Amino acid sequence: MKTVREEDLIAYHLGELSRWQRLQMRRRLERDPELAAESEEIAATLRAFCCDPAPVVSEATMDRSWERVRGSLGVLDAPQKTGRGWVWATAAVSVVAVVLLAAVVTAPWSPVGRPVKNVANETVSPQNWSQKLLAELDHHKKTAEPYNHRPGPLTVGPADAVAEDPALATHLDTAERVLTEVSHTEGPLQPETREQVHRLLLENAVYRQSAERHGDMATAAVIDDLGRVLISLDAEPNAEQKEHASNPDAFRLQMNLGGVLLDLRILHHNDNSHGGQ
Amino acid sequence: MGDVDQQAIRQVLGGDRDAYRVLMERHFATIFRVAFRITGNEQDAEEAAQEAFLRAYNKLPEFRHNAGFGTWVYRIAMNCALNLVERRSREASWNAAPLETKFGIERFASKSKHGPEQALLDGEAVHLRERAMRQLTPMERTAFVLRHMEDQPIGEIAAALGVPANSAKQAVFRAVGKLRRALRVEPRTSVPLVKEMR
Repeated sequence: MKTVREEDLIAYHLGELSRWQRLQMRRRLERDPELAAESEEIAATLRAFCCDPAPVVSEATMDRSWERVRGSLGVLDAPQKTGRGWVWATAAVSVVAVVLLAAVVTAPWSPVGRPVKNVANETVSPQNWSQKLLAELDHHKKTAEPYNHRPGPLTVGPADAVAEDPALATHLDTAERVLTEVSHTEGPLQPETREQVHRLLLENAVYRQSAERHGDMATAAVIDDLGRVLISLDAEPNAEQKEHASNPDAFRLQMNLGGVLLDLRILHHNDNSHGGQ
Repeated sequence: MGDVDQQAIRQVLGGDRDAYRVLMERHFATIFRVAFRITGNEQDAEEAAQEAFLRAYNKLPEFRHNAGFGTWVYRIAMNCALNLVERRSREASWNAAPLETKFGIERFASKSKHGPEQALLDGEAVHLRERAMRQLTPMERTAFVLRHMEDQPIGEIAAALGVPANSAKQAVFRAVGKLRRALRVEPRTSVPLVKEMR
């Protein structure tokens, strides 16, 4: 029978389970008094925070807020018609599609997804081909490489440094938000994002040392990788410089944002598991 | 979206800045409420709400009319409030004092129907809950408040905070776990920490 974790109970009380899962959970709670007690404690925690009323907005607050906002309002232009934009976008997509199709049709590919040189001149029997394929795979995966030559975040051990240091948890949260934003936007960084990246970078070294002091090498490794990404982002040319750069997206392409984001989420997951124990 | 909102938006886009007051008056209370719950105090809530309306104004030409203005500015406000809490959390003084003494404890002292002793206990319980909330990271706090107090769906929270849905959900779970432990471990007090509020 599957063990019920704290987050399953929280999901149950927050209505995040499917109907079937809810039914299953209800049955488990009826049968298991210990689990029911834990469930009741979570419910009580949620009840304690459910009914805090917010203050009523007074006329004075409204007037004050309006005066402040009014002072910063510029005259807006009506939205531009976007018909021409659609035409250009459609044309651009069509051109890209044609280029990709041409590339796919003309480029020879091997079964392992790599271009093959001089295919026509080689006589490859099925036995040879399979041996070559196995040899190639063997070459790539002969020994299991440690994560970036250091212990990675995939560990069953608790992320102690994160659990024990709320400031570090905040740092990782903020980093995840900023990197997610960067990975979902195109073009040069917004000044606000650039400022956040710079600040995160300055703080990052301190948190890395903190994680190392706690002996949490997995977290330290992730923070180290995060630092590399932040350095790349911080050094990225701004909009004006980008116009003169030979390869404007080179910096962005080199960053392994996805990998670091995944690591951050794994750390959070480890933190969750640790907290629930 | 209400006709009043649409009419006001048209006027604003036509150059009438004062028409924006109509939109503010209709939606300010909701925006202030969510900002208050995220930031934990009236001053910051006011600042976040004002920033949300200012941002909404500047983005008004991009506003798609298939969504309600209220929903749209609410989403902007969630983000503004989170950013403000993040800024505050970097300031050393932010965690040093209770966030909302005036609205928290005195509220109970003045409104309790069960005498001064009960009012004191209620006030103490509020204080402890606020202390528990301060153990959350800004993202955890925001995600928790939006999911639990504001009853927003996870997808909406994730979109507003700019994180994947699973991250938002995990932030809520972490928050509840931390609050539970924070309220449980209180050795010196006899105040019922996790009790339903009236």
